[in-house]
Amino acid sequence: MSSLEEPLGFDKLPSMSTIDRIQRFSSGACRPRDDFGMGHRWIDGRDCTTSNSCIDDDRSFGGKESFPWRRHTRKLSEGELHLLQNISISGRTSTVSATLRESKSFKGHKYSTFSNDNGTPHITHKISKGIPKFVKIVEVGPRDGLQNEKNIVPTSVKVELIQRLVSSGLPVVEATSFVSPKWVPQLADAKDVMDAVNSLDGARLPVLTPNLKGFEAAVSAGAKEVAIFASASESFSLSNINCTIEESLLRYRAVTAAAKEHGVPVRGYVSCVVGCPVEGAVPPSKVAYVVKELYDMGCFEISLGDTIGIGTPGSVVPMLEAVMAVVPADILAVHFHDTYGQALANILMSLQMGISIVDSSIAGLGGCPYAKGASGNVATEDVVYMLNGLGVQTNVDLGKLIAAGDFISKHLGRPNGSKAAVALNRRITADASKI
Amino acid sequence: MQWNGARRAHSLWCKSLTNNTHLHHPSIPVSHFVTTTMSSLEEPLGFDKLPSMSTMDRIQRFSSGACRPRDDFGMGHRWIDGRDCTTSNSCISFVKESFPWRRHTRKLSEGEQHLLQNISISGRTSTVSATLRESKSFKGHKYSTFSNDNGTPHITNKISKGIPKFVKIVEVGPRDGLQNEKNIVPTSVKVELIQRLVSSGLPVVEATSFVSPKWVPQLADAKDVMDAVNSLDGARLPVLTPNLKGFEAAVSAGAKEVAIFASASESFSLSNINCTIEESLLRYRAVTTAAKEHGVPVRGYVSCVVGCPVEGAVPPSKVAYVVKELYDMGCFEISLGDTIGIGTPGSVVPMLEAVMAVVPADILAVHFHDTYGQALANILMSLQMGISIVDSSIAGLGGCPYAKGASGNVATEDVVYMLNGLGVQTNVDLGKLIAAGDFISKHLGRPNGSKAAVALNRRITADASKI
Repeated sequence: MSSLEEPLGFDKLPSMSTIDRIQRFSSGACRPRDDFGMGHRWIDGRDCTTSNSCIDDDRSFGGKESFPWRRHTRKLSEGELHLLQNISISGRTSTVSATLRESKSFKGHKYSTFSNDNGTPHITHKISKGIPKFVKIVEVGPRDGLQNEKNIVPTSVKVELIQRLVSSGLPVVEATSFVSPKWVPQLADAKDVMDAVNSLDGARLPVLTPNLKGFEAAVSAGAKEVAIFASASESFSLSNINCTIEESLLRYRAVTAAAKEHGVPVRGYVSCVVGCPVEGAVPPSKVAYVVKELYDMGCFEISLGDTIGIGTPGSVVPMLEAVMAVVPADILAVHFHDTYGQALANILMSLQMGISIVDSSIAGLGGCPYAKGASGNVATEDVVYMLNGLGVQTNVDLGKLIAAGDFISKHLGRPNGSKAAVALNRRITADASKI
Repeated sequence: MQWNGARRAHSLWCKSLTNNTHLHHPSIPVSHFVTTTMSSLEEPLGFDKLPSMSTMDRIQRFSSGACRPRDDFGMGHRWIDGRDCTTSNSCISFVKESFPWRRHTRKLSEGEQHLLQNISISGRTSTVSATLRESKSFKGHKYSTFSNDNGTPHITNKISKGIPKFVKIVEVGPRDGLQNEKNIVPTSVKVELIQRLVSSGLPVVEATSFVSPKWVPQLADAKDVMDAVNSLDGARLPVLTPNLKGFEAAVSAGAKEVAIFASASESFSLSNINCTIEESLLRYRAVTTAAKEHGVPVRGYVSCVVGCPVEGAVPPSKVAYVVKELYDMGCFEISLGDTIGIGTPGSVVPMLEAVMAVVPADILAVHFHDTYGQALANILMSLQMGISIVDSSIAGLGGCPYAKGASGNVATEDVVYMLNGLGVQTNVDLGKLIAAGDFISKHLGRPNGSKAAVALNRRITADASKI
């Protein structure tokens, strides 16, 4: 189909059945059973501080579960299937340079192969050698994503979403939040959700706890991991949780002290790590200060959130530099919002800086809380697509992930917010226009 | 070509970089912290209480760092007499022009305005590490400043030192973007779009295509568009020409620069233009020969540089082959297109490695589609590899031609937003750019496809929910 000659007959391209496609999507997915990257904090008997030091190469998929939910038929051209299988869906661990050379899809050898060994391999190494071999994805859709929804999502739907996400191989799925139902009515069913998902195997299911009361409720409900939220911006802390940063840290020390007694790991979130809607730019030193405080009080992992999505690789780097000067890189996660379309570029830059944990939200759930209509969380499917392409292991089955995103998008009655999911879901139409 | 006076005029304008056109603004006190809270944890934040900016203030701020070089078109040695600079990265000059079109009011919080001014909109040239440290927005020094000089500066240098100081943006919206539209866009609207784009500082705006109206009815008005825009100053206005006939029509219509399209995938070439790669190259040699005689520069496009909808993965060596052929036949610049948007930084790097082994990096442009959301990451990686020319489309115009509903071109506003944040100069005024994108989106009756534009356009609502 051409701007220049005649229409391309896309209806003549071969298509795949649903089962074939799902099989191909699953081909490279694998899930480590015990590798949760917990580090030394709160867990007895674990040696690995990061999944990058002990990668479970057991790809026997003993725990692989087939999932009864099936996608409706979607057509991809044969070429694209080969492409996706070899490059992006397979999740094979391969070096950046080798990915395409290994491709079996090239039919014929009409053109001479130029040697790529002279030229710019040193640039490639410089850029890609910082990138971790394994990245842990922390899925925040059921909590961070859904909490912004106006219409209450039924508990059963939340539970099914969590089940699907766990089943796709995500190592961590943030299940809910134990906050006052007065302010977050969407998550008023926190206890019921926990009751239903507590028995799920294969992923950690942390919950948000804003204070000691929430913590206690969470523990009673069977939560095995919690998370707390501080801000790097004083104004935002006052606006958002009605207290200064210092007061919030005091509050959280009570939570971490109690958590220590219960043997419950605590994750720390820092919001406004690049910019604040009230103050503007947030100095990296402030971020580093709050990160250090959370680390010192016992958080095993700290997630750096660009709450208003204003960051670019230019502002992310100095922030990471400051933070990495005070805590180890392997306990840090990045939580970028895609409000200005910058999230994946920021994630790429963070990986190059040595970050190996990324927060994201299925189907891009969770709009920007400060701007009606603006986008918020980065979509997990887009992140996984990029990581697969980089040859970085995630243990996530992209096909199952897309199915989970479609499930919740369908329930919410909205288009899937992930571009990769939309592209992979599309039907190639015969009337597709030009190049 | 009329470039002979260029060098003298150019030297008049070649100033050192931006002299901190840091816009002076009255300091707005952080008057009252909003006392009601907005939180997933406590109470809603009263955003309607935040101070807002007038339209004029906002446009002024957006314009603060914008600048436009008059003669620095990065043409290289090919076809142009009397030019020394091979790339805009060696000689940068600015001339500001004001534009009569104004944006409708939009509110940004005070904090965001400070932020955008200092970090992203200002377009100041600053090193990656210095951007935030220079920020004047930090009120008070409650926390001790950790020294950033130990720790990881070497990583920063490693990652950012490849990134060019200046990136030339080639705007393809009026051609690549609009050609996919089902409803015919009136010539006057196309012309106004091009005027607005030129006025925003974009150095190159692809105006139209001289192809058979039978296949691209949207661009049947190519000659009329050219008649209207030929006199516009400040940007180059290349047009697409698929063959000698199109080339001749373009030149008659006053085009001063053309572009040709080859594919790195044999199957795609056959499907798309009904001939093999070799046959297409033969056809294009006729065009470049004629172009040379006329003194008209030719840009080469290569499609399917990562993947092809028919063949699958495209080997980097094939891409390098086609690029070299286009370069040897006289193209001054070659744009590498990830036509189906399937590339990631992992597949883009080996492709660029192969191509950069056979042609100079400074003649290469990247043309990524955002179909899988990967475009900005791919662009970032390309910049790190030394690429300094980026194709993009205003408001993300131009869906994926292979997938109904899937997105296509990367949005120029999002690219400029990122480049501003990296301290890379583009000479583009983001405010005017956003206005141009809103103009065409409004005409098409669609939401603006640029996330940065949507975010910057938004009204902060009082009923915004939680963090």
